[in-house]
Amino acid sequence: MKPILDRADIQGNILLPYGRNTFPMGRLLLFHVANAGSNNSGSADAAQRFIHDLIPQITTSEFYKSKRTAVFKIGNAALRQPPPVAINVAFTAGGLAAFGVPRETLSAFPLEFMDGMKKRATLLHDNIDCWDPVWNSTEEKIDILIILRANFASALAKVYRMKGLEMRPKAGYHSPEIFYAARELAIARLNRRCFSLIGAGHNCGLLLLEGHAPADPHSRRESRWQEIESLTHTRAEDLKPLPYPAPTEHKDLNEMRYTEHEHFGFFDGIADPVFRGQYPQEIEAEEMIGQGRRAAGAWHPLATGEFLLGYPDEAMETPALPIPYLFSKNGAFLVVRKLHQFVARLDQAVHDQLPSFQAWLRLDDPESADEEPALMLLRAKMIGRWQDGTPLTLAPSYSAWLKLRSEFQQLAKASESDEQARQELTRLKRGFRDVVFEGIDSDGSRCPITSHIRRSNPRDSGDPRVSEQASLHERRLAGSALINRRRILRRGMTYGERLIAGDQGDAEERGTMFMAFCAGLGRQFEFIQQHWLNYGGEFGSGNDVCPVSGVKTASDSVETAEYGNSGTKMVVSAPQDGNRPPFILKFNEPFVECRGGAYFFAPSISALRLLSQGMIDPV
Amino acid sequence: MPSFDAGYYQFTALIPVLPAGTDAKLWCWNNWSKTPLASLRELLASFRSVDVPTLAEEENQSAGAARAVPFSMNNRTHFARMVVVEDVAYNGLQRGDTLLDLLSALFPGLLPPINRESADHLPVAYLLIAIDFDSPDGLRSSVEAYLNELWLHMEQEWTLLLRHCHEFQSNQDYGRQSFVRLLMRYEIETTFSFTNYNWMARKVKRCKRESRDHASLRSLDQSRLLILGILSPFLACVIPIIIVIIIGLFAFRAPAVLGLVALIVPLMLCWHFFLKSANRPWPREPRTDLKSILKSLYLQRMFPDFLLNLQSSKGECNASLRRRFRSFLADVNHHDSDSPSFMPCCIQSVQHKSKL
Repeated sequence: MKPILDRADIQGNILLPYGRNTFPMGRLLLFHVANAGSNNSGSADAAQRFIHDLIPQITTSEFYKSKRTAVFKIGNAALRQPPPVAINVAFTAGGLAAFGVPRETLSAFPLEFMDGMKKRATLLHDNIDCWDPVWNSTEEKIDILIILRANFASALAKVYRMKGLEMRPKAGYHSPEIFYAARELAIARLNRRCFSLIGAGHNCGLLLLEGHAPADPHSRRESRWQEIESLTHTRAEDLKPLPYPAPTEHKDLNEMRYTEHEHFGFFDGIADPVFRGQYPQEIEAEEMIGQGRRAAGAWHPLATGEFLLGYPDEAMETPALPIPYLFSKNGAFLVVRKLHQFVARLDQAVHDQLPSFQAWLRLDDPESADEEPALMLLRAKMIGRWQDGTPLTLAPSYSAWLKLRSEFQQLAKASESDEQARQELTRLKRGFRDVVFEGIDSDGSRCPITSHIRRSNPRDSGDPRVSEQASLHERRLAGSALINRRRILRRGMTYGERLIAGDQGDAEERGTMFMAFCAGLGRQFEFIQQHWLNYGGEFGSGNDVCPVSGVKTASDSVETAEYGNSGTKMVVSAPQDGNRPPFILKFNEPFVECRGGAYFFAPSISALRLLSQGMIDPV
Repeated sequence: MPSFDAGYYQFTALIPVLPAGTDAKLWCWNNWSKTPLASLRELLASFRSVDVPTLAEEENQSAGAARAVPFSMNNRTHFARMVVVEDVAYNGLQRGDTLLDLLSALFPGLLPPINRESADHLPVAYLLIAIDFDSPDGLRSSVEAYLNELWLHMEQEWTLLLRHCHEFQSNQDYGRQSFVRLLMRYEIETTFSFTNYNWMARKVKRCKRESRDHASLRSLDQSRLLILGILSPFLACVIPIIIVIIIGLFAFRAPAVLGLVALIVPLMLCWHFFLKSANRPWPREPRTDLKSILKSLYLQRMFPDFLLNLQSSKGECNASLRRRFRSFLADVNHHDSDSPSFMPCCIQSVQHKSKL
């Protein structure tokens, strides 16, 4: 049975991500409900009034007029324009209590949510001493999170209109002058909404929590809120490493756009789980390929209950929910983590190991061992994808990757006029997310078994029905049974500015604001973090962690006189028929550090209404 | 064979613990008088199971006698666990049966009354000892030899422990005999092993042949069991019938007892044979004794470091490669499973409690 989701009841960004070109910048505001603990019931009333006024401003999961809805042919001309600033709200366990949610309802929430991320830091290998003060405060605890996302596309349209120019596609390149003017405009809109919300909160007894950067009086960093913004790329940067086409072919190499790349330089957020009710049926059939549940060689959408509360999940049952049903249905848990990225450290570590990696490549193929291709390949082996997102299973070597890139560009150009080329392009794009490992890459000689993408989403590898002696046919039928209950909807954004060569290193604030929605924090998010990223047991690599995002605990990486610094290792396996041994990468320090985070509950609009009326009755 | 499989002996014993109030002086080992159960539990909790520092002051001491783990002295023990089993869990009232209830209502006195409130209890508490160890043959003599070994390494611990149990004489001269006798007497059969290294490096070519031989051995055993299982009931029925017919034909007046014997004897023989085959233990997987396992973990730990060193040095010719590998082999001494190697009970990835 296919559930029909009430999109107007579900908060935005859950079912589908806000586009990173449409909403490339935003802010996270954290509030504390003042005097919630006292007997003064007036404070809860005031806070409820704040939510009451906030409800009409909240962006829901309804379809808006966009390129996506045009391509999908969803709705009709009646679709609304996307809002200039998207607003969403989520609560911590303490926040729900402060709003007067009865204890009987709260006690039905899962333990992980009630504990909060800080209490579970040991399990997640986080060191809370590195956390920013706002996430780590013991006095004024985080109660509410409000996320604002500014609409850049409408700002762009306005700037083009003011200049009397024809609007270009928002995801395309824009001249720096127009780009920055639109950015200014979007930020001004963001500021207006931001200050009006802070003011309204202040009037209702909501205290804005500050301290989003390390305590440093000389720093001019914004500490009142957490800024998030996509990184920008110029046309020249996007064309790398293809040899430039003749400059006349492209108007201006300095034109820029917001990109989906993250700070380490990789295209991020390619595959996102597809579940029942997320898309209209005819689109679902295409989208579920590579992103849904795989069984017997075919793709199906995942169960809705894996991501939204109140629906059957992959165990074919509706889990117990906090009562009343209306309060939990259509809600989802939100994980927020501020992950600082040591970009300079990663570059240095990769460069240190490059000569031996080149020597290793030379054993089989002297030509691929030039510095640039070897560097790209080494970085790709750590992630499992090339920097533009091409999976290593699709293009195992540098030359294959370049070939695919030029093919992609040619098709993109041809598809403007040719229908067949358009279909071909769709097929090629599908290949980016339709990644399976069994049969193609069971031994990890293309995409290493412990690379980032294979760890965080092992897809069909590790299917218990595929034995070591399985035939190729059996391997092709491998399913995703092991991971169906471990998926999360990633909604992360980058923060901070890009590291420019010769910069002062990793001292600057820079990283990924990891955000993910799921229905079971412990079963989904924490499992991935604990078992797949921060441990290697399931991949046959002992206690080695993910080469990019894994962190060992303090005692794990302790230096012993007998066996030296254990660090973390990663095995890059070579093809079985070649004459190379496996290559071993070793990293002594982690490249990612959690600087704060919390677990939130993003309720439905109906639940917010109950909350604002103080009418949550567990009887 | 129960308790012995694939080269491991799964020793399990349930030893009755003395009831409370037997001899209060026995468990006053730290000045507070308590029940034997409480004292036993406290004692068990005080034994260290992994060789990591638990106190801040132990951080700086080198590993060794100062914080020795009792079982680390023995290099045949894969697994050891000791638990106090106080009583069985109560599962609620006995279930009613509507049909029986109806019958006893219709015909009072027909059925004996059912006591629904009765619950099972253990008469005394037990100390459960479960140990998996390497045993060459699983014979009683080798179990005794192992227990003697254990006593040698852990005399103090065993004396403290077994003082809480019946029939133990902690007397200096008889301690060892009493210990072995006690454990052997209360041993129970088990078919479940905690130790299982069902893993073979299939990709290493040298191991492949061995594993295939091993697999064929197993499948042979399995098919034999299957055939026996199907054939024996068949034979048990058919042979007596044939015999009875023969006897009936040639000796018309043969007593019926003969026919009965002819029916039962082959049946028993078949059953005996079937059990004997089923009880035969699997052969040991090659190199899965504790020493080899520890050595292989050690090699696994050292080899990537060797490879890392090799990767970072440039322009290695084959001869020098061979030389370096030879020197690596000499360093790790791969033929010698004794040293260098990891110590039992030494687990590197266990968090230091003092740091938490």
